[in-house]
Amino acid sequence: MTLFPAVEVAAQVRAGQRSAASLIEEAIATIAARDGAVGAVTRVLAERGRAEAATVDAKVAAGIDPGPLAGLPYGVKDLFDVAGLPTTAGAGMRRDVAPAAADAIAVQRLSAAGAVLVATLNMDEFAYGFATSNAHFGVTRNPHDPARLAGGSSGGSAAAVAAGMLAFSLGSDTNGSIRIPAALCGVYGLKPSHGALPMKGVFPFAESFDDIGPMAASVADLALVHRALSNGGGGMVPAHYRVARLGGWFRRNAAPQLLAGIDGIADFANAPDIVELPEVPCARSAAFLMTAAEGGHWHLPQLRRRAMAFDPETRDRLIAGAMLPASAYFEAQDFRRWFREQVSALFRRHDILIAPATCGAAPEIDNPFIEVDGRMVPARANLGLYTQPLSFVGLPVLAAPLLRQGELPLGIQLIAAPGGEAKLFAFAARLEEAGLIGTSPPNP
Amino acid sequence: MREGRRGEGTDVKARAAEIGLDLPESCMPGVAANLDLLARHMAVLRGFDACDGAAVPVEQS
Repeated sequence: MTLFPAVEVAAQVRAGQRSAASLIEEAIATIAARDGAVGAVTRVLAERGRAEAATVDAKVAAGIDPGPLAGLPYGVKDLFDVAGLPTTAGAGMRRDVAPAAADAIAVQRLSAAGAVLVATLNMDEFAYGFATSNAHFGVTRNPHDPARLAGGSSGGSAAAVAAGMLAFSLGSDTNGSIRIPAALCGVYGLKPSHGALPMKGVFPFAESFDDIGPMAASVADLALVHRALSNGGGGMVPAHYRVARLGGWFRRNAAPQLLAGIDGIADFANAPDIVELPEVPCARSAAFLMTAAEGGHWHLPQLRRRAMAFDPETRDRLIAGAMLPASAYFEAQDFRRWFREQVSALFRRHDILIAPATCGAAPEIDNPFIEVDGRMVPARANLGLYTQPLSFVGLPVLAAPLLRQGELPLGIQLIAAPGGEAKLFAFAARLEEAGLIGTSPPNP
Repeated sequence: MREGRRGEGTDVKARAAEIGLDLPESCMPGVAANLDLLARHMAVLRGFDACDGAAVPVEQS
């Protein structure tokens, strides 16, 4: 099994060496062959994909550049509006809602860049979870070991790329929902600076943290898609960066192999500092509370009308969130202002920080727990230990897999100050070139 | 302990009713468990002292 080399393939399509029509048929066939064991895809959009592919091929034939993502088959998490389809947000109760009148802005930008939408992808219901264990659409399994979780909530997006079914995918990240599945499935994912990419046509979870971002099989592929999503922005800025590892909270509970990988990167980058953010447990708790309150508030009208139509686990979390006192929400907001100042101070001395994305490899589906401070706790709610405190203040984070041939994936987070995506791409490209990070296809 | 739990259940139902939710009995255990979890997070946050802590290097290797 091979992963999809998006940059190379798009160049071949643009040059007329390969047709988008052949790519869409390959993608449909690959999904049919591989997704049964993974469960990443909720809908195959064959008709739409063939039509978009035909448009790309017609442009090439007419001498018109179809765009930088020419012919690349991709999928979106089931919370992006796709014209003519109900946006389920992973909820059974939304299977029959009115179809979206238009594509999400992000999908429009990808279409304009020549990409071909072929699938919608599984997620935790309403994006509330880190497991992609969905009561209505099934569990998404990890392509590296189908007995293990893919992570979530964008689990279908990560698994589809990891299984070589798609060139890239879109996910969303509120507390780690791109970074965690990317890490557990061994692919790259970008959670951009908060608000950097368009959210119109994306079903919300907790609006003060929600972001969308791409997942792909290489740094170059991820950067290519990010440029299209940001209307040509982004890019890479090669330079000497001041790099440090995050310590304290971000090293406690992490698997030794993960820390060894991060330490190897620090050696490579001549980055001896381990720095510590203050009050990280408070940051995680504040993120937890604000997410619960915002998610609960958003869903309260539906909870009043039809609580029993929700996935029971999601429902109970949302109800509890809706019942939070307003004072808890405002205390969390106050803390966020203070924490943001501390983070800003750290980025005056460092350009890039490194931390694990999860504590270790993907948990087993039949035993979905992880060990934190010597206790086994549910993975669905706790896999965000290292991700929540960072998205809490809107930082851009590039999730990257340590290069580990034939082993379960372990992922790291490369973190910059808001607006620092170009630094992240450039640094990640150096690490990839040095063989420190990179994707490995799952064992056949 | 049992009395306490029963009392908590009544409280949870009453709090739910305040926001217009008629909480089905089957939701009670899950909602109560999640409220406990959120209460623990509130306790963590309330232990915060803005005078403590600063972002400084703590270790050089």
